[in-house]
Amino acid sequence: MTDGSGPEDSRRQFLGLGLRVVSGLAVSVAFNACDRNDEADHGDIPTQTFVQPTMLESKDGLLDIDLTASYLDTKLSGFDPSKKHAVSLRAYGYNTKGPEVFGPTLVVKGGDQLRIKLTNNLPFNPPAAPNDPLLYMKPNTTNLHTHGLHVFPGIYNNSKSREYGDYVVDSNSGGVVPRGDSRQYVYNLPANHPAGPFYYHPQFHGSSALQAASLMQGAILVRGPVDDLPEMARARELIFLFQAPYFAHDGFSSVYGVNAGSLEQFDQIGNHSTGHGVKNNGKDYLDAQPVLINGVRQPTIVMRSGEVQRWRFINTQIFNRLNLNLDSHILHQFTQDGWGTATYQEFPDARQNGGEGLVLSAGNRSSVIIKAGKPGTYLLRTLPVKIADGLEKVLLPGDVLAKLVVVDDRKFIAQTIPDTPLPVSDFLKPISDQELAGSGGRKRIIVLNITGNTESINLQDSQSYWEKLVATAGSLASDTERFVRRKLTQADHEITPTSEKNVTNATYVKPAALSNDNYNLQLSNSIIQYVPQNSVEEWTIFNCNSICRPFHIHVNPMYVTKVNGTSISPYWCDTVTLPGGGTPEMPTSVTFRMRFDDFSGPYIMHSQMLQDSDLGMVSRVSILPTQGGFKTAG
Amino acid sequence: MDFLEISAISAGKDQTLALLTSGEVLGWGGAGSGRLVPPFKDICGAFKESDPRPVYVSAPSLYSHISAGYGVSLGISDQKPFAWGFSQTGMGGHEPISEAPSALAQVASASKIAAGQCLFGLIDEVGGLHTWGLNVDGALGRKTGQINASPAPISGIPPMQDVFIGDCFMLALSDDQKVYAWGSNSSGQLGLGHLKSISNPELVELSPNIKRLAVGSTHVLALTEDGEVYGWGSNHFNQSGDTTSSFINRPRKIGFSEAIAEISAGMHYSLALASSGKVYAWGWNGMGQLGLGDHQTRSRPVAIPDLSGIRAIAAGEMHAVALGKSHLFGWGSNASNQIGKADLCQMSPNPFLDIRSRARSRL
Repeated sequence: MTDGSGPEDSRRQFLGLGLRVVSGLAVSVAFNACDRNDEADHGDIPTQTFVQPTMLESKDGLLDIDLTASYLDTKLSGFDPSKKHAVSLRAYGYNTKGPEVFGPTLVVKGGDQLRIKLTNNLPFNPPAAPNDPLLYMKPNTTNLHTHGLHVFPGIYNNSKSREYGDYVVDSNSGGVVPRGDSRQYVYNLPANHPAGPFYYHPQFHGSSALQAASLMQGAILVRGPVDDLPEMARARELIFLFQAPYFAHDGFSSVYGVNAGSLEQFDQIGNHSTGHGVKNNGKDYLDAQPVLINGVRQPTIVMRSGEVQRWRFINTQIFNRLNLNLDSHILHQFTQDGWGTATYQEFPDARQNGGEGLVLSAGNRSSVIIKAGKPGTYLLRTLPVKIADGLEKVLLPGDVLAKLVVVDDRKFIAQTIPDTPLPVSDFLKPISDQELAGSGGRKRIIVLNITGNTESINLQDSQSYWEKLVATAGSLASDTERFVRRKLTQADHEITPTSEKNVTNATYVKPAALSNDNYNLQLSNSIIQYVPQNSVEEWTIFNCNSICRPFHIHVNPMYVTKVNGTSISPYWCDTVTLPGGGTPEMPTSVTFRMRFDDFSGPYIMHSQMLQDSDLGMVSRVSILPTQGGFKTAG
Repeated sequence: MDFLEISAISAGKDQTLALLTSGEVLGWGGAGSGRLVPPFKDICGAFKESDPRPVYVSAPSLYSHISAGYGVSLGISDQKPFAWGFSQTGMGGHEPISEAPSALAQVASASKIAAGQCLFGLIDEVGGLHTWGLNVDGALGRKTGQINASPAPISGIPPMQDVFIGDCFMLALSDDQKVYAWGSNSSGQLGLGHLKSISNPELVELSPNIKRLAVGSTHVLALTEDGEVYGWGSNHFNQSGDTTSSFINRPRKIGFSEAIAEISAGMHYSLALASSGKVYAWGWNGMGQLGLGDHQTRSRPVAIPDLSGIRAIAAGEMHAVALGKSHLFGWGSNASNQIGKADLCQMSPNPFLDIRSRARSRL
C-alpha cells in the first residue's frame, strides 16, 4: 500500500494496528499515530524493514486489474544482506505502475470475479540458431497461472472478445507474445471457494522456470468466513513471498555469455552446477541467489509482546524447499497451501527437537498464526532440509530468512489466538470410499522419471544414470543435457535398421528421428489423462528419482490419503512433495483422491521444480463434459 | 491373392493394433503403436503432430498374440513375450521409450498376454500366471518386496487360461472356467461383495461357466458359455448395465435379446458382439465411443445402427474398433489418430482400413 487512496487498495486501513507497509520501501516504526506512547516508552524501537506488496481488494464482487510484464532494473541483496547487486530481471507491474520486485497482492473472496488483463511489454524473443534451445524456450513469451485456484481452465466461448480462464496449454507458437500482446484472463471463483493463500506466476511451457526464477510472482488471497472471526481480523496480516531470483554474477564459473545481474539462458538455471543457489561444496549459498522475502534479504519484523499476527507463507521458488522455524515460538498453521483446516497444526521451535519445521516445497503455501512471546530477538529460519534421498542424499543448508524483534508494551492488551474449530468450506469435505465407488473410482498411475528417449535401463544397475543426476542438488539439468545428447546418438542408431520395410496395403512411415536440440522438450501424447466430468478418482504418483519432487496439479486440489502406499491422516493440498530416494525399481509414491465436478477443459500437472517441467516433466489433464449418468441425469 | 487377413485386434489407451494372419502387426496412434512419437514441443500438440497412417510394428519374428495397454503394447512371438512403447518406469529390461520390441527375458514362455496401466500379466504354457509392474493395492496378486516388480508367478492358484487387467486390479479365468480377482476394489470391481482391496486371488461367486472376461477401467463384464453377460464394478454411467446403483460389487446379469459372442470394455463404457454380427454399446459416451452418433450416456445396451457382419471388437480407453468382412471400423476418440483418418471425436463407425483390396488402401 502506498497511499491508501485507491478505491481497491488494502483493507489495512481498517485493521487498526496500522503498520504502514509500503510497496517496495522499507518503513520504519511499527507503531504509528495511534500508538505514539510506544515510542516514548522505548526510545530505540527497531526499524521494521519488512515490506510487502500492495493489496488490491475486490469490490462489489469484482477485482479488475492490468498486469504488465517487463524488465525491472534494480538492486537486490545477495546472501550477504549488506551487499547489493544491480540486476535486470523480468517482473510485473500493474495498472499505471511500473515493474516492482513483486506483483501486487490480489484479494478476493468466494463468488468474486477476478479479471487480469496481462500485457507483455518484454522485448522480442532473441534470435535462435537451429539447435538452440531458445527455439522452444521463448524467454519473452509468457502467460499466467493462478497456482492452486479452483477455477475454469479453458477459453470462454460465450464472450464477444476472447477471454481465458486458468489456461496454460498454449502452443509453442502461441502464448502472450512480446511487444504489446495482451490477454484477458477471467477467473470466476465458486461461492464456496476455500479461503487461503494462492499465487500467480507464468507457465508458458519452456520458459516457466526462467520467468518464475526472475521476479514474476504475486500473491492471491481468497477471503472467507475464517477471516471474519474477530480475533483473526484483528491479527495483523503479513504476506511472505519467498523468492529466489537467479541472476548471473561475475563470481560464477560460467555465465553462458550473460551479463551480470541478468537471467537470459535456460542453462543458467538448468545447466549451471550452482543453479539452485547452493555452492559447489553443498554446504552454503552463493551470494547471488539468496532467499528474499518480498524482495528484501532478512527483513526485520517488529511485534509487541502478546501480539497475534497471521502470516501467509508462499514459496515461489522454483527448486528449493524451506523448513520454516521461528525461534522460541509456535507456528499455528490453519491453511495447508490454500486449503483451510478446522484445527491448528502446531510447529514449535524444532531446533532442539529433530529439526523438522514447517516444510514448504516449491509452490507450497501456508497460513499461520503466531503470538509474540517475551521481548527479545528471534530468527525466522529455514532449518537444514532434505531435498534428495536414497542413493544420493542432499541436504539443503539452513539459512536465516527474517528477524523478529518483540518489544515490551505494558499498555498493549494481549491478543488471543482464534478458538477452534475454525470455519472450513464444504468444498473440503472428505472423499469417502463410498463417494469414490459411486463416481467411477478410477485408479490412475502417474510416473515422474527422468527418461531418455531410447536410453537403456538396466534395473540391476543401482548406479544407473538417473541416480547420478543428483550427485549434488545442482547437477540435475547438466546431467539431463548429457543424457539427452547420448540418447540422441542411440536413437539414430536404432531407428535405421527398422525403417526400410516396404509392405502391401499399408504405408510405412519412418519414425521421426529426434532433433539435435540440447534440451528437447518432451511431451508424449500417450500420457494425456482424460477424465469424465463428475468423476471421483484416486491417483498414485510415483517418483523414480532421488529428488524430493514437488508435484503440482492445476484446478482441482488433491485429498492426500497415502504416502508410499501407507495410509496417513488425509489432508487437502495442490502441491505435494513426493518422498525422495526413489528408483525405477523402488519408486516412492503419494496417493490422493480428486473430485472433477465443477469444470471441464484442459490443464496440466507437472513438477513444480520448473526446470523439470520445462524439460518435459509435465503432462495434460483433460476433463471431458458428460451427458447422462447418475450425477447428471438429475 | 494378397489380402490383409486380420486374426485379432486390440485397442489400448491411445493405440490400436491389428494382428495379421501372417504374424505381422499393424499399429495406429500414439505410444505402443509401433510408431516412435517424436517429442512434442507443445503442451497442446497431440493431435496435429500424429499421423493417421498405420505402421508395421518391427518384429524380430512373427507374432501370435497382441495386447495394447497404456502406452505400452505386448506381443507373443515364438512363445516369448515382447514389449514396445512408452513404459515410463522401464520394465524387464525394456527401454522406457522405444517402439522397437524387446524381449522380456525373465519369462521363458507365454501363451496369453495382457497389458494394463503400468501393470502386466501373462499365462505360460502350463497355465502359470506371471505378473509384473507397479504394485498398487496388491495388484500383482502375490507377495513381493518390489514396488515396480519384475515378472514372477503367482503361487497357489489353479491353472489359468487367460488374464485380464484393469486399473490396478486383475482377473484370471481358470481352466475350469471360474473367475479369480485381486487388487484394487474401489468400485466393487472384484465382485466380492465389498470395496476392500485384496492382494491374493479370490474366487468370484458366479455359477455359470465363464467363457471370457472383459475389463474396463473399473468395471468387468463376463460372458457365459450360453452367451449371457454379467457385469459388475463401477456403474456411474451404467457401464455395468444396471440402472439402480452407481456401483455394483457382485455380478449382475445384463439383459440381451440375442446370444452374445464377444465382449469388450473401455473407460466406463462397454461393447458386446452378438452372434448375429451386431454390436451393442452402453455406458459413458463423452467421445462418441458408443458409436451411436451422439454423446449421450446409454443405461442399456443399444445396437449400433448400420454395423453388421462384425467378427471381432476391441474397446480402448475412449476408442473402439470392429473387424468387419471387408473393413476395419473405428469410432470414439481419435486424439492420437488411433482410428486412422477420422474425426477427432468420431461418433459413428468409420471404415479406416480396407482389407479386401490388393491395391494400396485408400488411406
